[in-house]
Amino acid sequence: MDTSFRQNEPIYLQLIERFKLSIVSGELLPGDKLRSVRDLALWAGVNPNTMQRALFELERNGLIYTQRTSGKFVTEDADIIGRVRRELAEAKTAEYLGYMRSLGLKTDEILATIKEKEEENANS
Amino acid sequence: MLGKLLKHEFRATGRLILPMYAVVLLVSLFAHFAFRMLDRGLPVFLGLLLYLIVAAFFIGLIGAFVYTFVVMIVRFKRNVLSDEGYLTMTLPVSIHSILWAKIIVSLVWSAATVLIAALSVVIAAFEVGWVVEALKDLGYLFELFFSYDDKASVLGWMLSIALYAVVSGIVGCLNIYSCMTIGYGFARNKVLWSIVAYFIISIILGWIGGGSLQVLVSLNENVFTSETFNESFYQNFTLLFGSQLLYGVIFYVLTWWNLRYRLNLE
Amino acid sequence: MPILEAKSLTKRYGSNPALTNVSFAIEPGRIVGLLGPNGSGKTTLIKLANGLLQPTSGEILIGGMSPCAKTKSIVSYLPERINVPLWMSAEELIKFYSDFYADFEPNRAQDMLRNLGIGEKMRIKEMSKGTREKVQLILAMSRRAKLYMLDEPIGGVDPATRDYILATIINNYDPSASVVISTHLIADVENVLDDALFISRGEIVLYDSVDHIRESRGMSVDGLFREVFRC
Repeated sequence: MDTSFRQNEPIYLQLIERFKLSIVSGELLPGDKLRSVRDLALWAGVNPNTMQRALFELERNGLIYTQRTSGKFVTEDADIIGRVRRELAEAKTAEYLGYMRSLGLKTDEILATIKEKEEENANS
Repeated sequence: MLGKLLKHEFRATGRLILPMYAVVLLVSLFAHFAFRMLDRGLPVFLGLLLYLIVAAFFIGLIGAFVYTFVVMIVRFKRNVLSDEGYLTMTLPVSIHSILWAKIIVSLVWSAATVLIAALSVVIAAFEVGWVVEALKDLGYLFELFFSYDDKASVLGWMLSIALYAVVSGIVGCLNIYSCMTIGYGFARNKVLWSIVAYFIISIILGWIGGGSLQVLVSLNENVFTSETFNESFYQNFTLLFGSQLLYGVIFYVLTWWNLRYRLNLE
Repeated sequence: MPILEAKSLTKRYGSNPALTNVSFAIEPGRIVGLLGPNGSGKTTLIKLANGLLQPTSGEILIGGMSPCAKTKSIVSYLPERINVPLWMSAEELIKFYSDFYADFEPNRAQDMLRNLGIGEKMRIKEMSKGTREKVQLILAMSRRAKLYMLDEPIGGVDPATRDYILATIINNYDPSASVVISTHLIADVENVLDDALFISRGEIVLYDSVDHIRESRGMSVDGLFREVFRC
């Protein structure tokens, strides 16, 4: 059971974020069947209503869909997944840039830092 | 639900009472041989041992009644007024059922203890000649009964006495229960308050009983003079039985009301 | 109809107020935290709902009825103390519960005992305190009740047991039943709660959904609790 949630934000929002990440990263593949709400709630250590709410939001965003008889599935629509990937990337980038600017770095300096780090990673 | 309550009540108390019966009967068996050997010239230490067995037998007889009584009280305290009360008093049954289950089981064990005590006396004193005598006496008693002109009256007396015994047993039970529910309503010294309640209630009822008897006599001087035994028997019976019933109702309502409205488990 | 409702509920012990003019309603399908420091009136409220105490004024209703034999048949109550007879074995207790509660499912109790490695033949008095508490929880959660009232179920248990208890509550979730969990250890239960009912000195100070508390105040229920009840 994983109970590591941030304190200051509703849990269902954090669940949505986790699902998005799993889908975008390929941990959950298009067409994969999701476990039951109860199982997912147990897995995340949260209230079933909270899990239900998160799934409802994901379904509204088109990331998952319900087949009346057999359960919930990850969307096979690559466009939607791509869109979510971009959203997540943008959000993280904005956060990163905000932090770097608060450190007093200019755009070219930030880009240089990224490049440097990537080369370091490639060599190791 | 009363049936299920009775089943569990018998199981919970039986595991305490039945071994006691076994011990009492076993001791009476020893006492049987002890009695037999007492009048033979025996070495001092063996004689002492026999006396000890006989003493154990008599103490055991009294102990059987005391023990039955204690089990009844402790069962009520544990199962209703202490931690187990959290389970007992949240069962989907009425308080009436809980009370009656306790009363009936207490009554049955009391009667059983009387029977076991009688049986243990028979075992201790068993002798062929003695049994023959006893059977003869019993036969004589029956003869007497069937030679009596008014069999219906005798039967009526016997039934009345039996009924009285049952009802006074129930009232005795409820008397104790009501005092315990009063005592356990206090925040501290619950046992002490139960005992105090017992004495206060006894004194008050004694006054009321004595007082009403005086009133009765002063109203009609002839109230306790009657022509026949039958008449006087039923006069006394009505009076005693009626007062027992009244006490019973008072104790029952008191117990029920306390459990319903004043229960405050720790 | 709410499964549990308090209307101007007041309870005094002598002249000491334990609950004062408490009103709230819990709908079916909710897991509600009854949260407050020790001595705030949580246990009094739960005992009132179970008919172990009578209100001084106002009323408490279970499915619209005052506590009685009928409401007791739909309420599963886990008191904060050991209430089962110590001389009984787990097996005997399962029979006892089956006898009295029509909604008790012996198979589930047996499964849970097996999962926790508790022998059915073992008597309660032979068990450790923690094991006794687990047996009581198993018995309470093996009923298909409409209202579960769990009084301090996680007080003083180790983290593994706490997780097991919370998992049992989640696993047992039924949209037509509600669960009330009283505790002062909020961080531990927060993730499984729908709603938080804050109680302080016998009065309701907040009754809101956990999501809404986090959304509107930007802090966890635990954080809010620490703020509200700061000494």
